[in-house]
Amino acid sequence: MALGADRGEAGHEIGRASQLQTRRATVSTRLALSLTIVFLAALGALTGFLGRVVLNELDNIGTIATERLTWNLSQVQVEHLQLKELAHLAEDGEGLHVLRLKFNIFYSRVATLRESPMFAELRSDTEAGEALDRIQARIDHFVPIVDGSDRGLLYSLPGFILELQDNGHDTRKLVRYGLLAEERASAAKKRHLSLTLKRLAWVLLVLVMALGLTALMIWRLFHRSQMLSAANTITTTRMRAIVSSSLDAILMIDVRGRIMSINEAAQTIFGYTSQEALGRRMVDLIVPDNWQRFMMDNMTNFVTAGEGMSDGQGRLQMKAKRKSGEIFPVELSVSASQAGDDMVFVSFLRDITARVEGEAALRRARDEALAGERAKANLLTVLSHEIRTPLNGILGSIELLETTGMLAEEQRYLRAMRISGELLLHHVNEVLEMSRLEAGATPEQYRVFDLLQMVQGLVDGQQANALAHDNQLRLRCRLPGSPFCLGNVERIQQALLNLIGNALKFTESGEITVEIERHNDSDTVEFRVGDTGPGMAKTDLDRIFEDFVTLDSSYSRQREGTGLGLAITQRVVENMGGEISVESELGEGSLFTITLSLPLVSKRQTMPSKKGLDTVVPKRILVVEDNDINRMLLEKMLQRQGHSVDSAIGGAEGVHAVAEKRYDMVLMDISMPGVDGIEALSQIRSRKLAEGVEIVALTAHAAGDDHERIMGAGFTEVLTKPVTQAELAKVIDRYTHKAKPLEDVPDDSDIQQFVAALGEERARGYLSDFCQDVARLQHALDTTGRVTDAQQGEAHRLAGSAAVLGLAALRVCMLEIEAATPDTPLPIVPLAKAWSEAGAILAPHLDGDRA
Amino acid sequence: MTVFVLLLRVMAIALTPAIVFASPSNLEAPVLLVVEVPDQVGGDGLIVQFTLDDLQALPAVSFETETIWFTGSQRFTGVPLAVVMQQVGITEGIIEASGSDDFSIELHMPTATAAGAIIAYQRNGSPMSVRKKGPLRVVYPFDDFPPLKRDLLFDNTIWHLVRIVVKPDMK
Repeated sequence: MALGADRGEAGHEIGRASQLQTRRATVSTRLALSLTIVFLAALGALTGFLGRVVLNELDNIGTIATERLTWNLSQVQVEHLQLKELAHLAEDGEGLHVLRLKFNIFYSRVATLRESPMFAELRSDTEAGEALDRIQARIDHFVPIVDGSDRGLLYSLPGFILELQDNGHDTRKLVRYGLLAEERASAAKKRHLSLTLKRLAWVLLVLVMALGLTALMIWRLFHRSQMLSAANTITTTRMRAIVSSSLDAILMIDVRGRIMSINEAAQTIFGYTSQEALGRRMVDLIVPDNWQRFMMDNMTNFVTAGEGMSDGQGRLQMKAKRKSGEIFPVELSVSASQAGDDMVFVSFLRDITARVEGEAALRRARDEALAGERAKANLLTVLSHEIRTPLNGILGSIELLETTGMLAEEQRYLRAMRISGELLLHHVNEVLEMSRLEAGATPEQYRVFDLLQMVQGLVDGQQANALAHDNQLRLRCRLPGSPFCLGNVERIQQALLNLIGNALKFTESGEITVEIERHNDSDTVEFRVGDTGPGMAKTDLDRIFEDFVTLDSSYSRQREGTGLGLAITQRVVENMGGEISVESELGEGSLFTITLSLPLVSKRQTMPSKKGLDTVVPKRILVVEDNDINRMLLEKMLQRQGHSVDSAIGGAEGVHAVAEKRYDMVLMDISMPGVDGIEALSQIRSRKLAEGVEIVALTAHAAGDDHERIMGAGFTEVLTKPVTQAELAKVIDRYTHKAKPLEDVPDDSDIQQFVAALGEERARGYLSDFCQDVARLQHALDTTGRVTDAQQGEAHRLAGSAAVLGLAALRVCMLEIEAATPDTPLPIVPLAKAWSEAGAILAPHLDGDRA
Repeated sequence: MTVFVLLLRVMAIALTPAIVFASPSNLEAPVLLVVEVPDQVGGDGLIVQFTLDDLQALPAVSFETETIWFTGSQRFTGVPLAVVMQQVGITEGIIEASGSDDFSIELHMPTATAAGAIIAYQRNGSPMSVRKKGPLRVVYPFDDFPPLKRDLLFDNTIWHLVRIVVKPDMK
């Protein structure tokens, strides 16, 4: 049935795996590619930068600066020489102005050398700098002469020419410096350029490598995409194989409901070929007319709202239509596959005609069988009635005859008839019982019961039978823990009775021991019935459980039964899920063992005392109690137990009530305002208003001396509040001379008993009133810090209620408040604490929802 | 403008002999610059002389720029070369500028003009003596140009400018 779903899942798994693969590959590749691009960009930038540096260098190789230096230095030399020549020429007195001009030009040149930033290095060079300084000093020396008169100039000419000799040396020095500087600079620049070119070469190398790397990655990407494509192809091929080999029809439908593809199975099931089906609307082809609307609505719903169209399990049962028009049942499962914008529906259809028919056939067979069973049960009932009625008639008549004076011989015959009749009845009952058990017609009744008591009762009941055969019948029990357990009482009794009966039947003057044992912490109980009878041969041990098997015995009396006893017992035990076995030694005896699972039941789990109703004799009881809640509670509890209850509020009313009416028992609260319990009792007893009626005290004080005092006052018994149903029942039982003992009734918690007694609604009402009252009192005490008489009375009342509800701490506080004098401090803090604890306990019972 | 130029031409032709043979001390203001325009067809051509006053009468231009000869910015004031050449009616062609130190350069008129060439007669507000590379020099607003062009311009300057000769066109 789940095959279609599995196939869909398999395909889904394959698809998902390759999808994951693709995604992973894409992410890592994208990352690598981005990194590479960034790297390339960085390299490109670096290249560009270095390239520009190179270009700059190339420009600078022109070394205009050094060229200028050389030019200027050589010009100094030239102008110096020109000056010298002119100086010589001017000795004649001619061309002085030209000399002056040339001097100025020379001055200008030297000034350039001294001022221009271009020649800073020159100036800082030791030799060249000094030479320059000397030249400057010289021309400075001659400036005033040159600027002076012609005559002065003429006069100074020889000295000037001499100076110019030295000047020549200096200018030559400068020139030499210039050449050296030029060389150095040139070399330096060459080195620098070479370095830059080397750097550029490295960068280019790295760039090329990066490009190579990129190419490699691209190749890898390509390769990977190839592989993915191949994997994809494999996946697709597999999917196709799955789809085509599927036994179920697989249809792929687009968003508009048109068939996109159908597999072979679909073609077989529906009778359409691929060509006939493709492009047509699915609803037109395979959905029967009356379902079409439903289908369309569902599909639209699904597309627009994304709501599924299945029964939660993913499958839908529908009718479909073959090409021939035949309508047949199908099981259908649809799922949507969405990838981006592309959405398709894939639906699996299974022709379930055979299955549906099979189910129908099974159902028919089952119904027939059930009918047969019912008929059989009816037959049994009818038979049992029809057979037993005449038998009872016969037996009854025989009994009557026996009592009308008959002759001894007639008595003998009558006795024989009776015994036979009883035997016949017994056999018939056994057969009917057998049939009933086989038919399973009787539902098993499991309930909680006291195992120990049951067995004891059983054994006690058989003591007479045992004595009849001079046998000793003993019971031994080992039942740790609670004797209460869950089981089918009637059947257990039946089985045990059968075994014990058999043991007693077959043993003469012997011992029959019944043992019940439960191992610690086990649900299993073992019942052993052993006898010291004749025993059985090993070969017979298996046979005895069979139907209609009895063993030969030397005692030829009524021990011969139908042979069904053990068979019935075995069935009964097995129906309860237990086991039965036997051990035996010829001549020594036999031991039958039954093992049953009888789970222990704690007292709390046992049912409330409703069943007490069956065994209680109703009494008239008077309840004297001033506290409303307590009174209501007692009334309800007693009424539940089936008694009729009257109540009196306060001692005075109680006395009055007892005077008016006769009661079987009186329950009297001790602590009441006005006439308290003890006072009321003394009045009643002294005026002899309730002779022979037991009066039981109810008190909230559990202290021993109080009990003495109360008993001393003349009460029959003291019950401590809160009183449980069981205690009440016991007390009533004890002091009203009832015949049958009640079964022990278990205790609920005080509050649970309270609620159970009053009913949920009323209990909740009382509880909320109680809570409000306590809260009000507490608030009053908090604010005023003092307590009034009225509040003390209130505290007394609330103490009583607290006692009923089992709120001990709160009760103590209330009593303290009631007893407080102006000197004693009020127990405000303990009260708050007790109240908050009480609140927690009461809370679940106050709100509506109970577990 | 053309009337003025014509007048100048007439004056120049008339005064050429006097100008050529006159010594500086005979004139009241010294001639700083001589501009020659040789005649194409072999005539006398045009020779114009400028004194400082002449030059200062023409529209002046002033700019600040850094140079390779001095530390810090220098302010040059002078006449745009184009304006001076306009006086002799020359706007294009090649001119040869010579200095009193026998140094000469060739300038391509439109280029030099476009580069903002001026004939400077003042540096930092004062006239320049020969010792200070004056009295006239051709300078450009070097700072306005990128380094490459700047270097080129530095090489296209001339100190102690005394003479400009217009080169004949080579067609």
